[in-house]
Amino acid sequence: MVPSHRAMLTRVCGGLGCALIFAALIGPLPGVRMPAVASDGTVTVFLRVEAPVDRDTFSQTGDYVCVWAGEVTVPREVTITARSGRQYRLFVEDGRYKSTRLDTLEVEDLGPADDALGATSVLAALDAASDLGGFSYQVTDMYYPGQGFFVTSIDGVAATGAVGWSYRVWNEELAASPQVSVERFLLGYDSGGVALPHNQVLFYWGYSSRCLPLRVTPRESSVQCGLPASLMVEAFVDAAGGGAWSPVQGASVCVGNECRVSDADGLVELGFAAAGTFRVDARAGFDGDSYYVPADGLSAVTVVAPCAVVSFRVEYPGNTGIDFGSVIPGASCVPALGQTVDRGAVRVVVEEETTVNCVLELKAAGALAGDDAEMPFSGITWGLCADPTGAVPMTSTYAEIGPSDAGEETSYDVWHWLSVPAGQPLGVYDGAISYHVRVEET
Amino acid sequence: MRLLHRGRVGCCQAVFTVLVFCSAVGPALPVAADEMRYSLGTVQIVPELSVSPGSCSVTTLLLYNIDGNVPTQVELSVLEVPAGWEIRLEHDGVYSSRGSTLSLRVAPSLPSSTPPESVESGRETVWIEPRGYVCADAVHVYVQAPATAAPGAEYAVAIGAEVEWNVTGAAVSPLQAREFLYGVHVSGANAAGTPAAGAPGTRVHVPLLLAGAACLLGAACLRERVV
Repeated sequence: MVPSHRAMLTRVCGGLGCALIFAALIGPLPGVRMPAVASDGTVTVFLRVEAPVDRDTFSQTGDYVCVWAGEVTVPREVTITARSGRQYRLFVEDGRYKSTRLDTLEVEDLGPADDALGATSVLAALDAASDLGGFSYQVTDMYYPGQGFFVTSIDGVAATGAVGWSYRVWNEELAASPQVSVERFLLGYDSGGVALPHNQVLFYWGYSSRCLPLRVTPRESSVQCGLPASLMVEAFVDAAGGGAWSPVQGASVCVGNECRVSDADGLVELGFAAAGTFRVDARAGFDGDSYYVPADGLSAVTVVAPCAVVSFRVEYPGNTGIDFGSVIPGASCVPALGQTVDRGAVRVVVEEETTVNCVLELKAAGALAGDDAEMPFSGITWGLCADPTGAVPMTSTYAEIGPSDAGEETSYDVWHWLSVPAGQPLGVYDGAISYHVRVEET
Repeated sequence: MRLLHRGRVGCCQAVFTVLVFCSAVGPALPVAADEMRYSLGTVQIVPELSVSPGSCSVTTLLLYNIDGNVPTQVELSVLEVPAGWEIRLEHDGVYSSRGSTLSLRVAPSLPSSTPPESVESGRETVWIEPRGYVCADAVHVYVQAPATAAPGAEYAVAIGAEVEWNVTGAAVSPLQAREFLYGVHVSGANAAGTPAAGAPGTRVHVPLLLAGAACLLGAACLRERVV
C-alpha cells in the first residue's frame, strides 16, 4: 500500500516580495530561528523540501524547486505506512523510543527517549509536513534491513540509482547530515549528534554530499537609512567533525526581481526603497563540482525607516539662466534666449534615486521689477512644447508641470515667452521662478 | 531682461565659476561652462516622530548636490508647528533661533562607489541607490513638545526649504521649494526629570533648559551613529 497524502501542491518557499531600497534592521524571518522546543515540550521545526526542476537535466543544471516549506509541530508519535504496505507506530513509552509493526505487533526498542518530548523524529516531521503541504512521500523498510526507514520518494520524485533524497538538520552553526535513518534522528533531543536548537530540517534530492545547502546572512544587525544591506552567501561543506559554512562566489541573491551576484568573498549588497520586510533568496547552479540547494528566502531585510529621497535638478542651456535679452515694448511672444525647437528654456529633472512619487510645479516668485517699475509676471508664458500658442501665463500660485514616478528619471522641458505691453517703461527687469517638488500623498 | 528702444542690441552674459568638491567622496568636478545645472537632493529619514510631553525628539534631513555644478543655497524654515511646541534646526553646530531660518550652502560633489574614509564636519555619508555613496549636509530637526501635550495626540510639523542659486546676469533667477512633513505622535509618559512645577520665576526656564539638554544628548547620540 502506497501512502498518499497528495491533496494539493503548495509552494510556499521562495515567495519573495517585490521592492527596492533604504534603512534597515535585518534578520531572519519570524519562525525560522525559533527554539525547537517550546516551554510546553512541543517540538517545532522549519521544514523544507527541495526537488529537482527537471530530473533529466538536473545533473547539468542543478536547478531546484521548492516543493514545500513551513513550520511544523512535530507529533509525539506517528504511524507510518511503508511502501511495502506495512505500518509502524513510532512512539515513546517508559523512557524508551519504540517502533511497533502493527500487523505483527513486533516491537523494536530504538533507545532511550523522553516521555515528555515523545518520538519527534525527522520522519514524524516529514509526515506532518506532508499533511500540511499536501505532498506525498514514500519510505521503504526494506532498503537496508534493520537499518530503519529510507525515503524513496517525495512529491512523486523518486530516488534512482545513486541519486536520491537526503536530509539535513540545521542548528545555529551547522547544516548537519546525520548518518542515521529518518526515524532515528529525534528533533529537540540533545543526543543526536547535532547540538540544539534544531531549527530546520531540509530534505533535498541529489547527490547527497555533493549538494550543498546555501544560506544568506546579513552582516549587520542594522543599517543606517540609505546604506545598502550587505549579505553573505555561504554553502555548508561537510567535513570530519561536522563541517563549516564557506563563502560562495557567483550565487544569485534576489529580493523580488532585484538580484545581485555574490563576489569572491560571498558578499552582495542590496538596497531597498520601501518600508517592509523583504525575503532574500540565494541560489546557484551546478558549478562543475557541487550542486547548491537554494536558501529559499529564509533571511529577510526589514526596512524600518522609510526614507523619502527627492532629487531635483534644473538645467539651463547656455549660461544665461532664463533671459529674454533686449525686448522692445509691445513685442509679443519673445522666446527666451537659448531655447530651441528641441530644447526648452529650462529643463527640470527628477533624478532616478527619488523614492517617492512627486509632482513638479512652478510659479512666479513676485513680479518682474526693475528701474522703479514693475511688469506683471503674467507677461511671461510657459508651455511644455516649442509652440507658444498653447502657452499659459505664469501665475503667483503653483501650476503643475507634470508628475514623476519614484525610481525613474523624469524630465520636462519648459519653454518660456515674454510679451511686453507697449507702454511699459524701459529698464532692466528681473524676477524669479520657483520650482516646487510636491511629494504625492501615499 | 532689458527693455530697449527699437534697434538697440542688448547683451546679457552670465559668468560663473563652479567650486565643486567634496573631498570626502571624490575629486573636484570639472568647471562646466556651457550649461548650468542647479540641483538639490534631499533625504527625509523618517516621516513620523514620537515624543513624550515635555521632551524632545530629533530627526535628520540630508541635503546633497551630486547633479549640479553650482553651489546650492538653502534656507530652511519651520512652516508648521503646533501651538506651544518648539522646533529648532541645526547644521554643523549652528542652530536656528525661534522663527528664523537656517542657512546652509550645499556644495556640488560626486557620488562614489566606496564609502569615504572621512567626512567633513556637518556632513554624513549616505548611500543613494543607484548613485552610490554621497556626501550630504546633515540638518538635525529638534522637536520639543510642551509638558502639556496630550498623550496620544497627533500633530503635524512641516519644514520648508527655499533653494536659491546665484545666477549672475540671469533675468529670471531660479528658485526651488520643497517641504518636509512629519507626523508627530505624543507618547504616553512625561519626560523623566522634567519638573512638574518649580519655584516662581523658574517655572518656564528650567524645563526648557532640561529639554535643551535632552536635545543635546539626542544630538550626541545621533552623531555616534553616523558612519
